[in-house]
Amino acid sequence: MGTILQAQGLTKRFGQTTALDNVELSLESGRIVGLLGPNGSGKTTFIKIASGLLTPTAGQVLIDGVAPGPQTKAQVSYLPDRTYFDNWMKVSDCLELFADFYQDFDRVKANDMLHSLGIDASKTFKTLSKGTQEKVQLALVMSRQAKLYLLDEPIGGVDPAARDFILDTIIRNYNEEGTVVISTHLISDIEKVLDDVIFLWDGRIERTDSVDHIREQSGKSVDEVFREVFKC
Amino acid sequence: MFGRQAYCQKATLEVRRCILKWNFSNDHSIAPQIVEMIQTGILAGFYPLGSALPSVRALAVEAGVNPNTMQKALAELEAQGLLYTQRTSGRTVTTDERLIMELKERRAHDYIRHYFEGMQSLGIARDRAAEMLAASASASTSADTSASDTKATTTTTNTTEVN
Amino acid sequence: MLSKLLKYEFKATARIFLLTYGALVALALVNAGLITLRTTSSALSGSSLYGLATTLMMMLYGLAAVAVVIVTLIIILVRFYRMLGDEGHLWFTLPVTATQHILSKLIVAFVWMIASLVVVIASVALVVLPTAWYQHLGSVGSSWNALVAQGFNPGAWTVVVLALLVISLVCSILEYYAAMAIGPNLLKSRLGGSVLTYVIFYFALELINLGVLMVLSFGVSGKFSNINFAISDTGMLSTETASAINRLVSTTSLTVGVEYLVLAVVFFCLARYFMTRKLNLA
Repeated sequence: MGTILQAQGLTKRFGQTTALDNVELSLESGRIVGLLGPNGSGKTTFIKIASGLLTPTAGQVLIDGVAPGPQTKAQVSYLPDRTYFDNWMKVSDCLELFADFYQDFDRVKANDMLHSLGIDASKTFKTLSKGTQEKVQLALVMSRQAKLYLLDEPIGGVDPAARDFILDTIIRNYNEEGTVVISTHLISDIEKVLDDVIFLWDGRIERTDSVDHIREQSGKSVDEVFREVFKC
Repeated sequence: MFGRQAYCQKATLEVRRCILKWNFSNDHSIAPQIVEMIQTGILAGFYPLGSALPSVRALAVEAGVNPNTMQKALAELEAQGLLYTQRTSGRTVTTDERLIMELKERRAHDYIRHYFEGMQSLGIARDRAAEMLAASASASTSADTSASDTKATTTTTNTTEVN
Repeated sequence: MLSKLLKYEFKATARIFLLTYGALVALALVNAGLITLRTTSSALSGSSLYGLATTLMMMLYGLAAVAVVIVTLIIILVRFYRMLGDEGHLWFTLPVTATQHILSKLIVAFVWMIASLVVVIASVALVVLPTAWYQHLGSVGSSWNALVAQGFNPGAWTVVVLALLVISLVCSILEYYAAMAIGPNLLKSRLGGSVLTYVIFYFALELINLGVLMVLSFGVSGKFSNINFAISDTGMLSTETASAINRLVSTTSLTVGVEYLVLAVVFFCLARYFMTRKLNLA
């Protein structure tokens, strides 16, 4: 147990717009954390910085005490909000790629997951439906034994059955050394799965708390509290 | 055998056709809701005495909740004595029949209390409510259900007491 | 890690390149065949229709040869460009350094560029096969010996020319890469920024080349005044002339080589810097 992620004075500006404003954050290992906020609140920006795809304008983020780089990338499993495989790659090629580059990749688990989804590994990514593509990516990402999972909007725009599969997979793959960060604006669907939540608004953290504490304190669901906090 | 429905204050547990349906209310912490549901499951015989419980992870997946939360709930049930951990084989339901009886008693009293509270909110006095309960109980055991129903309805229409 | 990246890069590009090369070789063979038929059959050599067909085929081949080189370059650029786009979400979350990414793309690009040149040259050799040019290979040997007798070193020159070719190729590829790495930081449009950066590089390079040329001419002026192309009775140049020419060649090639080497390193470092400290994937 320990702090797996630490953000200190994290700021990101794109030209004139400030996506993240002086974010201070600390995440413990073994927690399932919800990064909640409306579109444009900085959730994706934060996740991308932690994954090493964006560089901060100011401040820093540390994964297990190290700034994002090849070392952290070996410990962080990132699921983007889009497909990132070359269309001509076969599902088996994608598996091969993950097995090649990630030491912590569990090939057997990935194959089992794809099998239970009824996905033919010899098909190219292009021939799969969008929902199936997302499931393949999720299966690969969750088959890693990573210290930090960053899932960017995994349940947005997805049918209820797929949503159940995603939450199911997250619960199933939970391990005490891994922290899962799920960014979303659909809260009521995932509340039951979360340990802690972070409310992000306009690049700033409005509130961080455990789900239990919020419910006990307010007698309301996190979804309801969220709506209250972000009522314009 | 599993056609009954058990009502809890905070959560609904439908024990139907041997499939446990987990319905949570998002207003309150989940762990206590799980505790109550599993208690009901044990009392209703869904989790037989002395049987092994599925693993924390499997239960968490089944219930669709965070494994930490499920762990908390199971720990609480262990503290209550309903579950105990065997060294290698995970958690098992207790065989302590006395404890079960105690729990059933307490639950029964809860249901009774709910009944009376419900009747009170309808403005029906306590002893009147007790009468209706007794009548309903004997009516459901008699062969001629329709006859007892009309008897019950005629008795209620004579009620004038308001509390 | 680098070897794995190379594996994927080759796998991803092999099919299209081999198809293109195959098509070019096929066209070359067709042309060679048509020419051979014309020389062997008097009936065909008289026919103007046949002549038209062969001319068209030759033009097609010519275009294809040029196209192969251009297409190779385009594919190389597009691969790097796409790596910095959506696909980047995959590549830049792998536990791989920017250096390894650049090197893997560079090595594969270099290999395919050389391959395309080799294939074009080989296809030309195929096309002119009917002229039986291979019978004249012996004369190359005698020319070689003549140069050696003059006091020149054709072996070393070949090595130098090849080395310069390699360095300038590597340098130009890295110039493109650096431009694409810097591009997103310059303009809102990634493509626009990359093109703009490349244009800036182009003009900067022109200036640098001019500067190097001036330094070179300044440095060599006066030192080669004793070059006298007068040929003596034995049919050879004087030894001072030969050694002067040797010095000229080596000085120039060394200067140009060093210039391109330095530029290549600069471009590499620029690309790496902008892919680590200034990475901003959409």
